[in-house]
Amino acid sequence: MNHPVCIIDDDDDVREVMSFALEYEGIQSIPFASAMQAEAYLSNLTPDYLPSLIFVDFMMPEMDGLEFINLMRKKYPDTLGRIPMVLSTARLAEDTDVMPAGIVKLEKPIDLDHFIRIAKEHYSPLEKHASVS
Amino acid sequence: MKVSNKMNLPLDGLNLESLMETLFYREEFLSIASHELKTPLTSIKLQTQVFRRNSKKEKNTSYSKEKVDRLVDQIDIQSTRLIKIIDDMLDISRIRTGQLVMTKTKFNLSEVVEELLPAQISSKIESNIFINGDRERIIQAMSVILNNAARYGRGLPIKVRLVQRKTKIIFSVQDQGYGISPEDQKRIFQRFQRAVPASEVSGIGLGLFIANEIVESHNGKIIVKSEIGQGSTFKVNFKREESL
Repeated sequence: MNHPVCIIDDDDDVREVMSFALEYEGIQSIPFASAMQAEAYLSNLTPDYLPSLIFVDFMMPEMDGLEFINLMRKKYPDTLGRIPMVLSTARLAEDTDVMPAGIVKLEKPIDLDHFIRIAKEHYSPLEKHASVS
Repeated sequence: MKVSNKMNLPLDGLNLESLMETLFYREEFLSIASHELKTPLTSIKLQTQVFRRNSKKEKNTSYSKEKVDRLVDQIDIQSTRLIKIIDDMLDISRIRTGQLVMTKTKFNLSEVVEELLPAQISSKIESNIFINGDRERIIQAMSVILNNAARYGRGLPIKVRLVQRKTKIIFSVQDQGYGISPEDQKRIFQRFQRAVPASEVSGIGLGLFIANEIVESHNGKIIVKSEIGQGSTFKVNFKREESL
């Protein structure tokens, strides 16, 4: 079993096609329509089952992508907060120029090859990931 | 904030506060428009890239017919979404230059409203109410109001009414959504204005401005009554023409 890649995006089509593209490459994914849903699900996972990577959209209702990343780092520093996060954004480049340390930005429209390359770099077998956690 | 005057405009006579406000909303609009245009483009571009990637694979790993149909449907839906945004922007330009022309004919408004409403919406539509107007533009204005009720209505039931009185025709849409503050009620009919932050609900804030222009071109008026947390009622009043 592998640790899945998590996709959080409030646009149904974007989320579905991102998830589909990953699965076609043999990468298991878990999609969420909101940051709140993602937190509710992920916070109940034991460390052995945490995702290996999280793609989160910047502009979402209730909780945006940046708020989600900051919350994960603050509330779950030893578990969810340690998972690599990629912030996808359709905002103007200058709106998201300043990113907190350690956050990778993925600009929309997304380059599929780049997206899959990032996912493959982080997608890890259970044993490897468990040792990092 | 320093406002540069590269065009050497005579700034003395201008209200600087109003100018800065305009600049702020212009920047805000560019940012929102960028997001709203890029979101459907993201979906379309991802899907075409998925197809391209798939075409390079061996035949036995290619997508099923159902999957291909689904991807094509999504491209179609997202293209329509883009066209809608571009049409709204073109309408703004037409309004600004006075080129939003209305082609008026007599038509049955009751039938139009019946056709616009999804089955699950509670409605009271008086039959055979006729109006002299631009059918497509009136549909556009009413669609904006109905769509807003659905988008800002928190998924709660919406009530729609079309009635005729002695001197006027009233189309009203009542939602139980977020509600709009008195301050926001004054500005939602202006360009690029929204009562809800861009991150909460998608859209570029042109819909009500265009709807209001259309209704006013028919000597009508849009009235909003709203309370925060209680929802909103948008009422479109048209003058009733005796000859119809």
